[in-house]
Amino acid sequence: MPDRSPPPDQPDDRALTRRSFLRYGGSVGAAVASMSGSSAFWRTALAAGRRLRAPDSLPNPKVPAGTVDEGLPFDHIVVVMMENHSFDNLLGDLAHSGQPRAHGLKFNRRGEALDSNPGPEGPVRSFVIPTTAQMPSVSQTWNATHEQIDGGKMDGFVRSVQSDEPMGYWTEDVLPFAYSFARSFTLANRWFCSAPCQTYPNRRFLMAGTAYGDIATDTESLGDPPPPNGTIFDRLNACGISWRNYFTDLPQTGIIPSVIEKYPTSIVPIAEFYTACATGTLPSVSFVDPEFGALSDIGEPLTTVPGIEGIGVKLSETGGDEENPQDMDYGEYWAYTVVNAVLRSPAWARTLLIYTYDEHGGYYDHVPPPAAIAPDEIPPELGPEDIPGGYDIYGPRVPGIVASPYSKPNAVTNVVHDHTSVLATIEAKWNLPALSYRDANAKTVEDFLDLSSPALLEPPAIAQPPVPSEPVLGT
Amino acid sequence: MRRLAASHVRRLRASHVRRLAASVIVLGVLAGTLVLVFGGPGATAGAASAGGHGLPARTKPFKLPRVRHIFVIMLENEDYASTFGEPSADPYLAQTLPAEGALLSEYFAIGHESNDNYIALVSGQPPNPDNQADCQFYSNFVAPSEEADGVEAGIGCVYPANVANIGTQLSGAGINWKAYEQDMGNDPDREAAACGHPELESRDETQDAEEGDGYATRHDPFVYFHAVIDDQEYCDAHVVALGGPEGAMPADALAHETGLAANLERAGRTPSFSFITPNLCEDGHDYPCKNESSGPSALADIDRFLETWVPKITSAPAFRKNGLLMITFDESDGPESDSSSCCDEQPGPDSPLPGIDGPGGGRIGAVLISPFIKPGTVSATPYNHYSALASFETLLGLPRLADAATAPSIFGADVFTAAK
Repeated sequence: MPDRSPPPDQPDDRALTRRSFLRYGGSVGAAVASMSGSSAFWRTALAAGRRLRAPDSLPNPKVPAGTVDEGLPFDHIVVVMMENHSFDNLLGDLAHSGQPRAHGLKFNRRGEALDSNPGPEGPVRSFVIPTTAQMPSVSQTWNATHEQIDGGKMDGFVRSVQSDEPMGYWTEDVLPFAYSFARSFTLANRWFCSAPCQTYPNRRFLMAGTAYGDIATDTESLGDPPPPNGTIFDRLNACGISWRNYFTDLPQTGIIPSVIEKYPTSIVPIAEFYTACATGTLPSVSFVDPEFGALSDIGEPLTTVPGIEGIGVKLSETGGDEENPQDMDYGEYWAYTVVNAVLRSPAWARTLLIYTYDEHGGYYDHVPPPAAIAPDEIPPELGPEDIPGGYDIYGPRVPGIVASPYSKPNAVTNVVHDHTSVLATIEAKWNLPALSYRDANAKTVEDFLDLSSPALLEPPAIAQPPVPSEPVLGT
Repeated sequence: MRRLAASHVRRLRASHVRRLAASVIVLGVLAGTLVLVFGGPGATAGAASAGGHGLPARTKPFKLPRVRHIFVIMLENEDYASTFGEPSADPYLAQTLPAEGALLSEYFAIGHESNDNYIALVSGQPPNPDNQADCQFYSNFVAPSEEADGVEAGIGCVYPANVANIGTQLSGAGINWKAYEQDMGNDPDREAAACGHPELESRDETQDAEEGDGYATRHDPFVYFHAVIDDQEYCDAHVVALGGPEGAMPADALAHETGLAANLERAGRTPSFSFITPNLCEDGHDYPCKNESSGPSALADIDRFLETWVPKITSAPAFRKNGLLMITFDESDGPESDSSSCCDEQPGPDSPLPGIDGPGGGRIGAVLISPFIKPGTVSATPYNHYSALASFETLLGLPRLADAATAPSIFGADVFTAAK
């Protein structure tokens, strides 16, 4: 049970100032102002003539698109995006588990977490979740997330769902893989999800550099036109660079159905990923998807979309999955299996693995998201009940780990990243044109690496989590 | 919704009031400035009277001394507890120097990591995500939204030409200043010996020291302003190599470039504002050192630098007449060590946590030495880098920039205990 005794400090009001009001103000201010807020952001930038890199511009304009940057010491990029955990929720205890420079929860001398959020009966302290089982009462909708961020105070997590559950966090005892992986390689202290809302808009950012209006995971958005400036897959395809979306039960590319329509042969079952790892034949870029669960937010809408019925067939072939996707031991084991396949691949010496989470899942994080560059002119499509806001702040912090022989061992980086750092890294390696203002101006993951020395050429051993009692799809 | 909106209205009103108050202070300082510039005898410290804690009530307002030569030495990455709180490791800094001047025991850094602290100290601009991460890329500051109260909203490293710092302010007033950068230009393939910095929009290759060259661009704040670097001649004349204690300059120094030692010899050659950056060894940043051989500890390396240079400064004619030397650190040992703040510090518009994991850069302490300070003075008034900039600007007759304008107190009667 969460400790209800009041923390020593009162909630910190300092983050909420006249200036954060300017940035966050749209989230609770007048709806009319917010509708123009996002696009005004970059128009002003252009008017001022300041050098924001533009969509379609090349990372290195001196050489043609498709030119390989040999300075980046990898030929294969593997992207693994898990679902729904904040930094503090997953790794909040990491300072006690071998990475003192991780910015997780604050603790007293007895090791009890001091972070809290106001609840109806007083402050609700962060508490340890004792098993891998998750609880049902968390929410990462647009409105809930804005209420959680609360203008930068990060004090609305309990209030947004009327539950203590968002204040839970895991320790190494329960999540041996996540903790061991995070401390073995380079961990981001400031990787934010791309927008303060759910899976679909955040995965749109991962693949297209923009959410182009979407704020929620719903079936209707699957009928939207394709992203106006295409996807990273279009960029890769245009330059003949190989890529695959390896899926367990459902491919995340289904969130932008035009990708599947255009490139059906690039969407392949995860078994082929393990083969490619084992034989050292990984494509240039791999998006490796965990089992989303056919009944999950992602799965259910996809099974009904005309034009991608093939996915339904594949789904039935691989058996689908009805196991409770909310048990962490399942995802831990899957991720361990995928990461180990990469570490043991003959291609490891030239591989870069980026591991992150799509959003915070409604779980508490103590770091207020900073300002972000709006990707384009398209504002979020908000209904009358939605809290006004734009794509000019990030969402809450999520874990971000980069594993490569060139990763800094047992290190952290404080550079600000979001999912478009994945795009920026791919674009930098193969000199591909940017998709939006967001990825054009995002940082690559170079700060995770020490380009002068492959200190982890011999990969470290990562802790193996317990094997779940039920078979794990995609392992 | 209605409840939230109402609370924001309250906030807006509060901020409006703060802004008005800030304007009044600025006006007050400007008025004081005019008097100072014209040498009037009645110049007062403006907001400074609020600075002294526990001092007997004075019948007459405190008059700021006529400080005309300011020196700043910036050291790296130590918590107050391990420097001033543990004098055995750095006796010269923690005991000898406070005995010659004033210890500011509640002096705070404003952010993490390094670069944002340097920028704040010379310009009052608050941290943004890029300079908080030490500007791994020397990128232009992109300002997509409008500034307010002189505070730039945006992300990036090199501020546009319209953004001022204390150097450009001084030049505008016809007053000389210099930044003295130890090791700058030692390896001319890495950086020039005057105005050394990476090419715009390129990786900063000076993040790590190399053998023989411990210059770090991120600790040299003036090259993060287009108002300085765009005019090569101006930049070359003001951002120079520190040189050796006997005046030796790097082989690649410009013909007219002189270091601190030479400039200290005659008061007429000593700039009114000198910003001194030791190399990555002697500022305590690296241990063990890469550019030169280390002493027994990082704090011992710091003491070695100070023992070499502080006596040269405090015995210089300009200092003895009307000098002020401040020695402090950029930040605490790190965000995870101490990211507390003081002085009603406000986050910048684009990074809600100046200290990455907290509201500030942590408690670091500072030593001030001056003919206007009684040896052994201790002040527990909270100050930070914005307060220091505000103090320097007020002393030198300049308006207070950006967040220096709203610093609640400047060095006053609590510090200048030997002011006439």
